[in-house]
Amino acid sequence: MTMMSSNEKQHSILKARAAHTRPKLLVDVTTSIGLLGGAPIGITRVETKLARALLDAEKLNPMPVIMKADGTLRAIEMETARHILDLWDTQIDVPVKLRRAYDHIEIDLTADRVDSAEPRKANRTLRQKIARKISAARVLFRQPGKIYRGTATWDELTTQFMLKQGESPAVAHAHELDLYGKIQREAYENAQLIVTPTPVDYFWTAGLYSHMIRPRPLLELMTGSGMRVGSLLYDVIRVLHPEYNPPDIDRDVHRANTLDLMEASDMLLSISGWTRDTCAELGREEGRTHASIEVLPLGVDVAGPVLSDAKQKVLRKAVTERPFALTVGTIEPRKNITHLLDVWELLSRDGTPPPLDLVIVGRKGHRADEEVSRILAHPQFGTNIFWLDSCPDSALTSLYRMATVVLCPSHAEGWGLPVSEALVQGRPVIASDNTAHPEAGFGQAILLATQDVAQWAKKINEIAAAPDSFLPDLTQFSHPTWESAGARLVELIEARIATPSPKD
Amino acid sequence: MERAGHTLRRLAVGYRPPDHVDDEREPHINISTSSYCTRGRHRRDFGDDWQYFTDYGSMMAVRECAALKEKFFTAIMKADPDVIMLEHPWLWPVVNEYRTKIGKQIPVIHNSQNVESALKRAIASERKLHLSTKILTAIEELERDCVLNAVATTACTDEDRDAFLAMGAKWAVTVANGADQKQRDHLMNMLPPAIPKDASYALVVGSGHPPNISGFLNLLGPYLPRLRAHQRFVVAGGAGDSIYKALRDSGREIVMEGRFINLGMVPQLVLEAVIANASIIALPIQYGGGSNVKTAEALLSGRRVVATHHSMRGFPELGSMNNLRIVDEPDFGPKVLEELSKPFSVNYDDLPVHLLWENTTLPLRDVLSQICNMVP
Repeated sequence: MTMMSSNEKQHSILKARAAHTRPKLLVDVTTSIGLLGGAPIGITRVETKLARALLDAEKLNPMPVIMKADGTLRAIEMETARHILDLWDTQIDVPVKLRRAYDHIEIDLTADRVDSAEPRKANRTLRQKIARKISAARVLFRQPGKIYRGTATWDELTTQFMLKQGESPAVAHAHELDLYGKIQREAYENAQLIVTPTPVDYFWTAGLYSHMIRPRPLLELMTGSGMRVGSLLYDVIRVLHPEYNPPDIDRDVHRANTLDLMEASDMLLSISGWTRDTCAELGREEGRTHASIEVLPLGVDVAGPVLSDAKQKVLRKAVTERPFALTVGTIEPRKNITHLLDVWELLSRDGTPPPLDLVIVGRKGHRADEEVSRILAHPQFGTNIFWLDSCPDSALTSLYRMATVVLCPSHAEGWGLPVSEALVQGRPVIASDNTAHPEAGFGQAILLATQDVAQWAKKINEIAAAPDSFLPDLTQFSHPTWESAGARLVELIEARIATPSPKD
Repeated sequence: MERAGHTLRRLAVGYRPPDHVDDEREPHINISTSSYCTRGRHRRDFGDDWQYFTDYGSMMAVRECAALKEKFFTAIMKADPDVIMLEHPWLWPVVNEYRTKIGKQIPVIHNSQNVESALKRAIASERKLHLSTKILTAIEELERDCVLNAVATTACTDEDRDAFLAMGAKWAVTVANGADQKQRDHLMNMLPPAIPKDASYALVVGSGHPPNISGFLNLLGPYLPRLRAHQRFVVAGGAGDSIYKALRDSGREIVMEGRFINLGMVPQLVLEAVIANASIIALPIQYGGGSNVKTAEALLSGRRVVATHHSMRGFPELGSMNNLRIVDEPDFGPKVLEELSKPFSVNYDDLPVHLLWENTTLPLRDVLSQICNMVP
């Protein structure tokens, strides 16, 4: 009789347990949980939309997971993951969450600026600024089956924050103010199960550039387990244009992460043909072999319900009641917002108001001090130029529809979601003619040289004069939806899982 | 009951955690705000033994605090019930006071989980509590009064049912506890960091209820030294801390190392995973009433189960299940060790599907329907 050693016993229990399982799809939701409560950004939108489609595909035996700081994958309760993905949409429910960026400016800065410009009005203006700041205080409200944010205003009589009249009869408890943080903490604390993948398991991630999912631990996990990986490549702009990177992250980080992810993945998808080609080029330069890259057309339908007429009126009043041009994106050098400020200076050079106001939607990003200073110092800021640093998707959809034209002057984009989102909303778009913008424009966007201020001003004048002449022809292109993107991804992963792993 | 077409309104009474989000669907009467607790009267009545009587104490907290009682009455009034079902007998005195106040004898179903007076006596005796006998007598009277006045009493086991009939219950029905059949295959080889992924372990799931603690200490504690290098005893739930302390205080801290894993309270997904990967589910229960919900869950898990006869109360017909070994002291520990040394296996062939909740709750639904038909 042969005796089984302790090691053999241990190995055999893993095999014995594994015999009772079937292939799983591990769906990465690290970024959606990590950034919960923050403003939606491209990665969160893509990850949440695609993850939801995958978690709904029961035939793939999906399991939501996150990568922890120690590089381990941890399982998340399905109900928790769905709840969190839904919260990204729940946040969009009320337009009053929309907030003017200058509510966040230091009062001192505002006071200085006002003092230097119009000393006589300083006190009154400062009071108005403070009033705006207070009125923008956000409170979470809760009604049966529904959680959303509303606006509270300061009531002088009661010296308490009061709900804006007519918004909700609910009362918020103080501890609910931190609801997102609580949900986030609970999700992390409950993520105790270490996922030990098998060769038949498949891992999907669309969270590369959040830096929350790290390809090197993923590679090690794959090597040890034989698990396969599918991933989405956004772009290699941070390798090609390091001048736009956050100061604390070198281009080599992006190079390493992209190469690792390309090496790890047996299915590589990209958000555009431009991204596909530039990633492939990077792979060639580095002498790496990798799976072929397929473009996954992302949805261009903006998430969330459209606002009611009443809410749209509130929104319109909150922004500007004049016709306006809209630009959407994080405030950072790559987005080239200063170009638009130049254009607006040109448009009102002779002292007349510009034909359109400019509404900037986007939070302040990295290396944006100069951009923010220029916005704030712009003579038209607050009169013809407005900046909203937080805007829910439902309000964004309405803003797209209200805008006379949507402007996308970015230096580089892996896709250019605002371009296609605006077109789908039937608005004319002027976009810079670089990188993936031509693809995102579906042949309908007006493409201009990135820095040609005169050309941009001329075209804006033309559109303002005859907006209907520049409307996109929606019959001329079929745009992908998030539903079609999700369905395609499910189809691709299903095919991969059906193909036995070479290590199996 | 909802599936049977009844409309349910819920009302909870107990401690409410500070971060608990208020939910209109289940109003929560927070006993920590009761003057009975805030003024320390609960300590005067129960001393250090309060922890064993918070269930009885929840009634005291409502009854002895005018503000809380008003809140309780308002919540019932808002629900406007045709029938009131009490989980345990504890709130019977205040519910009865409400009935008197409104002058309407709303029928009450006493849905028991134990014969509480017997259980409290057993706990007091085992824990050597220095309680006033007045409290145990009061509990006995409360339970009897509830049983006598309830339209129906449901019991987890025939034995409990008979005890209630002996107390004078007009109508007592056995409604055995059940469980859900859960798909856990996707959790194979997924474990919390505390459990080595290649460990073969016997799992005990239990709350801090005293029988769970003494059962482990008596039946498994002595066998910790005999566990092999890759074997563990794992405890999930509130019982773990007390077991750990008892082992430590009895000079066995070193023995626990690499043998005993206390997971404490765990999220549901973790619990499912530790069940999925367990070589054995052990049910070391030696006393206490009711039919253990954990027993039904274990029997429906497809994992091998080692149980005492006492833990099988309410499930006498299942003795021949392939996955099940029923043994008592002194054979319990050795049987767990023997089963633990066998290869990991899962067997879904003879699962006792009659233990699924949808089947076990049929008598309760029948009781409720009959009572509803009586209501004018």
